[in-house]
Amino acid sequence: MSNKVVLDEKRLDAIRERLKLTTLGPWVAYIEGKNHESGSSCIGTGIGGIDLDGATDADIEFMAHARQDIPYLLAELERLKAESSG
Amino acid sequence: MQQHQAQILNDRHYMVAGVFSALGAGVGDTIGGGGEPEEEAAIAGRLPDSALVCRGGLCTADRFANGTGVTLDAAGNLQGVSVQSAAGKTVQELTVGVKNPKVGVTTVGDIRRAGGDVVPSGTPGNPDHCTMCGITPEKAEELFTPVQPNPNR
Repeated sequence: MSNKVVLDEKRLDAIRERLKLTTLGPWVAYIEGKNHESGSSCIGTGIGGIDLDGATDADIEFMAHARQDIPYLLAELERLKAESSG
Repeated sequence: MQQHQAQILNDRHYMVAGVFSALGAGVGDTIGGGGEPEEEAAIAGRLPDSALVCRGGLCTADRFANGTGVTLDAAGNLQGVSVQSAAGKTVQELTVGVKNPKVGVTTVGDIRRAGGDVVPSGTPGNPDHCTMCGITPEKAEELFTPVQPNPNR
């Protein structure tokens, strides 16, 4: 039985493409009462910001961090792929 | 001492006069009427009716009601809404530390006429911080929208 993991390259390419089209990072979660006041929680981007209606603070933390987390995870996948094929 | 107080009052008078001039109103008028005279507000340490009030974000009723530290009293009015306000300051000056790309703007007078108030609660790091209370989330949305781009973002 093989332990080799088969990656869905098509899906990974779609993730890379979506990442490429996002606004310049890093993105920062500005949470009211934590690192921001006199305004609703929002996301700061490399060139401005994003205001959201209906998002919880946890949603905002997730979205802001995803801008840095996705490239990190893709790089880790590449590293592990190279390791397992090497 | 009295001379010093008179100078402060005079300075504030000119600051307030500048705002009124910019709005096309006469010195000594109150915007929309019904508020207390500007000089009396200054002496009492209260914000004048003409002071701008800013809050970052989309300023929908839901965003007001779910703001950090915000509660609704028995009458359904907001308590503890974090805002920026100071006599004679512009939107750009008030929103320097606000991270949101959009800001809602109204005046202390409009909030008072709706039954609410804005009370200074400045800190060393944010001297223009204030707390708004006494109006419903829906009224707050009505007063603070449409929102405008944050001139500092």
